[in-house]
Amino acid sequence: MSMLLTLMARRLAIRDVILVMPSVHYLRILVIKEGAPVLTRCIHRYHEDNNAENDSDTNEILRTRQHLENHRIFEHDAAPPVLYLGDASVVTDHLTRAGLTLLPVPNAFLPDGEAGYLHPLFEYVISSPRGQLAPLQLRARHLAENIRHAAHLGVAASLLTFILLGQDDFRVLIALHGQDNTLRADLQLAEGQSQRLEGSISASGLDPALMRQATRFAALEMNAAPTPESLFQFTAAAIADQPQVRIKSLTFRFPKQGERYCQGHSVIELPLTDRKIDLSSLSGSKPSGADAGEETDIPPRYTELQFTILLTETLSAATQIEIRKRISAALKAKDGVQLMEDPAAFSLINTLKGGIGMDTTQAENLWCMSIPWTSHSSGVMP
Amino acid sequence: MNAYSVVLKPAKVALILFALSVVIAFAAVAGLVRYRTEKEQSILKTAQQLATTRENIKKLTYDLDSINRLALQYKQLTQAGFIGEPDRDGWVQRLETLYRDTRLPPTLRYTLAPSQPLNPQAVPADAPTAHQNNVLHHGLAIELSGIHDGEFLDFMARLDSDWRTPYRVETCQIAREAEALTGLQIRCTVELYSLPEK
Repeated sequence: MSMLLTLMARRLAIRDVILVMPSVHYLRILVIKEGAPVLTRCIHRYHEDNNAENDSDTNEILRTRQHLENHRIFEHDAAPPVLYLGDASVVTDHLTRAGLTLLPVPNAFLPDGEAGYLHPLFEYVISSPRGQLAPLQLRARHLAENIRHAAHLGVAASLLTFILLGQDDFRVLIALHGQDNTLRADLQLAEGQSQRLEGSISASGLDPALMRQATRFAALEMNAAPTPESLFQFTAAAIADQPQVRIKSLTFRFPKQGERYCQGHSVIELPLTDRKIDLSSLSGSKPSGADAGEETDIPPRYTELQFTILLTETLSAATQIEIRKRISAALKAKDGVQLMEDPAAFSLINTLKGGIGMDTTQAENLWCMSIPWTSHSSGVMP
Repeated sequence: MNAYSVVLKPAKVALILFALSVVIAFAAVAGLVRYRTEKEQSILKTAQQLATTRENIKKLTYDLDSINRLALQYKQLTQAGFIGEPDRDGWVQRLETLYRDTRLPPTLRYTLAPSQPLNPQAVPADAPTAHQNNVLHHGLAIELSGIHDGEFLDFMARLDSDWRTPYRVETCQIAREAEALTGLQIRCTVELYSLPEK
């Protein structure tokens, strides 16, 4: 405020002056010496009575002059004129009597002058709580109120922010809570069921995995393997229609995976549909990952069977050839049999065996074949 | 009292409320997010536990089903001596007894080889030969001579019904002896099996 007034005085080319600015509540006195403010006062105006106020204004101006003199800012006889920015008529007499010169208010600062608006502005800034120059108590109360208001807004904003940011989480949490309850109830039920099952298994005193392995092994390795009786029956059936023929020797074995059959032959794999051994009665419905081997496709298993025949009577070569053909035909008619040594086969495609001084009849009458294992459930040879 | 105090003191309660609301809002939002994350993890964990338990129930149900379904077969295998310690002495003694009871010529010769595991190294559970893990095989070489086809078949049938031994006839070489009347010369290898209990 003082700076504004100083600037105003400089603009009016007033270098030394006691500038008095009355307002409704305060009286501001600014002393400018050689264009610079040297003293500023702000005096509260208490009186309701205008005359008393004016007296008070005059007294304050005189007190200010006294102060200037006491501090030798201005000598008594060199007191600066007074510029009263208000209705000066009420103080003119008093000041004149006191020996002070009252400067006329510049035209610009008259109520209808071009700077007349400054008066209400000044009044506003020094009296309104919003004004920067209002009394401290007003300003403090005003600022405190502003802060309180802002704080309340902040509280509301915080609440709103919490609601906005938290509503999604809150909604999800409610859903999660329900889901959690359901899951826990299900888990409790499942654990109860699991315990009951464990109790039943434990009470049986049996090891299910061992049972499965044992029964599976029995099915695959013992029950599925052809018995000597079935192989005898198979061979007997091949020569059943040949009354002159007897079996001279019979050999069978179960070659392991990768082993050759009939001195160097391999079994031609049957279609996959015929390969799997039926274990449906053993498997049941299995859980994933339990005894995975039971789901495995079992490699096909074969028996190697070879036999030679003996003729009970002397027959012509043509008859012998015919008998061999019939036996071969009977063997080939069996499902899955692969004849690898066939004395009745055409010599261009058949293995020829012989030698000087050896029993050629044995070589000529040898049949060797592979016979697929059947399902354990059927238990019969093809 | 400084200037700040003059202004701030009257608004102290509101400011404290604001500060509290900010802190509480922040803490509540952060807490909600954290609680939600924890809840989600907790639910995930519960769901995994439930899945594991259900899988276990499936397995246990399958196990119980196996026990109910295979009990008879398993009992027969146990009675046949397949499960547990192999009764090698019992096997050959019963073989001899059975053979003697058939009143066949006393030409039976046998050799029971030491036991060997079928799978020297245990194979994975999904391998085709996984069912052979831990199974021991005992090669029993049998020689018979001077018996006829029918007698041999009768003997095999008696083995099937009365031997009470887990076996299969692995190989056989059967040949007629030079003199047709004297019968057959038979050499067989019988594989005996045993599965030790775990």
